[in-house]
Amino acid sequence: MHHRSTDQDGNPPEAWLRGPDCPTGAASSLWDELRSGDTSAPWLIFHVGAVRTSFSRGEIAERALGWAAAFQAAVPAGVKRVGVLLPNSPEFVGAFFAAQALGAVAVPLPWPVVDGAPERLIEALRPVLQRAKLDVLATTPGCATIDWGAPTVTAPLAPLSVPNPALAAAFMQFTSGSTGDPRGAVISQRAALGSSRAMASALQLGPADVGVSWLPFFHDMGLVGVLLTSLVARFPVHVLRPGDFLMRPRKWLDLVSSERATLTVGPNFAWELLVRRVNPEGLDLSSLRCALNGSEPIHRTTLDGFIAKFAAAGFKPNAMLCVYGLAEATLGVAFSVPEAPRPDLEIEGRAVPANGGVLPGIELCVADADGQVKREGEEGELCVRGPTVMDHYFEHADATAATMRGDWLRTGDLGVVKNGTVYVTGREKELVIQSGRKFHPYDIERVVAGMVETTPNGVAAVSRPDAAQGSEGLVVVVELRRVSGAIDPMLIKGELLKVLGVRADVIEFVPAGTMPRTTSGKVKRKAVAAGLLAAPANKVAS
Amino acid sequence: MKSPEVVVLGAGGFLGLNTVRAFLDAGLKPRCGRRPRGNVLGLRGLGAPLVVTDFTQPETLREAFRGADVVVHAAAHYPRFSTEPQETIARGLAELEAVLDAAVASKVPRLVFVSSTATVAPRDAAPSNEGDLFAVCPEWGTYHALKWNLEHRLRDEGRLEVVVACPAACLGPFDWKVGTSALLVATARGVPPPHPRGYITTVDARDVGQALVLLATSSAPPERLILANEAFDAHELLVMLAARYGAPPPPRALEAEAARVLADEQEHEAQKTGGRAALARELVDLIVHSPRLDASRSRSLGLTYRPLSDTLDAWDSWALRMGLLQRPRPEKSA
Repeated sequence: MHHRSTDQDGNPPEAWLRGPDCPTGAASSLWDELRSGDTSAPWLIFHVGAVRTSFSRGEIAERALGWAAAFQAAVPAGVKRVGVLLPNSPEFVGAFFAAQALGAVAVPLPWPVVDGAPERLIEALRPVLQRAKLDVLATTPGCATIDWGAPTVTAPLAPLSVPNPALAAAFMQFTSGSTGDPRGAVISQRAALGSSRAMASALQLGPADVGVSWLPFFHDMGLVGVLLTSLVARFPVHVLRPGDFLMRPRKWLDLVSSERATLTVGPNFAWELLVRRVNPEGLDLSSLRCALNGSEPIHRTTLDGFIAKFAAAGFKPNAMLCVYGLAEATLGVAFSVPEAPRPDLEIEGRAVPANGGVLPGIELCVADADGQVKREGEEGELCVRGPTVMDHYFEHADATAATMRGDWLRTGDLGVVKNGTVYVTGREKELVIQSGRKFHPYDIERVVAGMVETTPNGVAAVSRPDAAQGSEGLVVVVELRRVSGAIDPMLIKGELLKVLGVRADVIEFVPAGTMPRTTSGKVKRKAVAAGLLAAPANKVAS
Repeated sequence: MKSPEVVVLGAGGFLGLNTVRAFLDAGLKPRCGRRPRGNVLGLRGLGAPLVVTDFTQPETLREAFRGADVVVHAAAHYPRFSTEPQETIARGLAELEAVLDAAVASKVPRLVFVSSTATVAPRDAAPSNEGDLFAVCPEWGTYHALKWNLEHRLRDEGRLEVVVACPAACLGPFDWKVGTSALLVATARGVPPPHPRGYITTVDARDVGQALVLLATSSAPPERLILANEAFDAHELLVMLAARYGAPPPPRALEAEAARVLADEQEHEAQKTGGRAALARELVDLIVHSPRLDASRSRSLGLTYRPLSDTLDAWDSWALRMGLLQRPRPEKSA
């Protein structure tokens, strides 16, 4: 990263922030952290219907040793990487920490929102499984019947004696659900603990806090933001499954209310769903001091809508906290905190909510494409470095080289720094984010191109803001080789759901020669998106 | 030729009783599977044998299925409220698994499963037919998610022949738990029900019974069959019912989101008080997400559908006997 030369003209300072040192602790691995101190207090409380089942750290450790024994039995030569394909459950947590106990790398894999029949969706995970080179997969009996190319384990055995693992990477986080070019961010023990401790420190979390979460554990926000942060800060978390929330959004707030939760987390769409669906009557949200909104673009209308609607339930406005992070930085980069509310930034008539200051251990700057650091107030790519940044993408040197500039992580997100505050203004990287789930456009385009006779590189998957849903809509533009080649859009929508689990909002067919392209023939997705916003395309059908 | 031995699960319920009667009309005497504490009022006097089928006691299922040629499963789990998706799906799948295992153990060659049109995926341009099944589980409600999971499980079943019937909104006599006919009861009692904008496709439960007889006894039944008669705009149907019962007209149709909010709140309250939600979430999801249906396959198999007026007449006379209707309606006009 290149500093600007000394400026004598009174220009704003460089857009460069440095957080305090990353907090440290006695434990140097997640496995040690799990077992340190008094491990008998309730940690994770799983809610299934009216039944609640509580587990202490000690009980999770015991369960993990059972899984570890089963992994060793399945792979006597030694386990290096463990896939965890399970819903939010004690089994997920047990298998995740079993990998830690063995000094292996856990690879959390996406589980469908609604339980019951995951086989079809996870078929699409095969490229991820191949890239991850799993030695063993922990999953459910139903999924174990599928040939994964690696042994599957569906239940723990009698516990192992406590092993003393060599320190390895803690886990590998694949940055989108399924992809033709999977990227597994390798997160070290230091990064996993550091990121969790930094978030806990910024929010001043401790044993007096109570968490509630429906976020999937395989997602960075659920895994690091909830599971590991509560582990290091020693507070209990009440756990729902994503489907419970999506089908009955009120369950989330009911649990916050009944358990007197102080912390909960969700992407913007989830808060928007609460605004639209839930009546505040009968709820008491006065205990919440940290209601984190992150993982996808944040809308001011959602924040205001939630604050206004749930004031009647005792919700405190400064509890709504906008946060920014990404899997390649383990999770947290910049966090708002309740004690220091920060103003929005007006950009082109749009209010961009503040994402707060950088977390401990994080150094952030705004840079241009050449690595030249911008000035405060100027928009550019957010770049991050520090002990919580990933080591690399697993066995993907090209992607690592494209993402890391020295020890700086190029986030692909656009932003502005002003008065010590980070504002995320947009996205340089081409990614579709739907309900907090991330999809690479080329995966979507690959599926569609296999169904329709298109021109070469004739499919563009782009997202567009969907204020009504508080999330992003997906538009797929298909350039037809022949005008008569359009097919039923429902077939395409169904295939995308089946293969990738992504919902397309609009399938639009355009005639040959109308797709914006670079001189080398690649689709210019940004131009496609801009065209969609500006005017209806020259449609064949939609 | 020997008549097939048939077991009907859920025989004392709404569809079950109509199915048992259809079998009896066809000259077959099915074994009537009943839950240990299930209501068998309607089965008394029919002359069909009763057997206890407890889904938590697999031996009762195996015993009931012994020597049977077909099991008609009209007892798939669905709770009163759509509040617990995870629990509902888990229990539904567990019960289905118990039925399948027992059927295989007792060497039953065919299962006829009563599913729902909730599993039929919509098309943009044309009515949906038997080939349209959601590729992945619909996430918008417990009812759809459960039904999809059950059908999806059955598609993987290779141990016995599985035939799936997908009936639309069933109306007719013996709706003990007042499912779809809650719309009729509320309207007739002068409390027009709140409802979302959308469509309701109706089918007479007696016609469903006859269809299940066909699927149970046919030598080559289709794997999946939509059973549906007339499609109505939900609001227009309620206007028509209000006229039929001399009741006040229904309120304006709600937008989908408002209806979901209302139903969720009503179920939330009803759970606390032990009462009944005036608008069930299940019904909202069904109306809002109702696809247009192509039931030509069932008609090509010789099935016929009674007009709605016949269905309502039959329901009226049963409901009057049951005390669900308080007074005779003034005139027949639907």
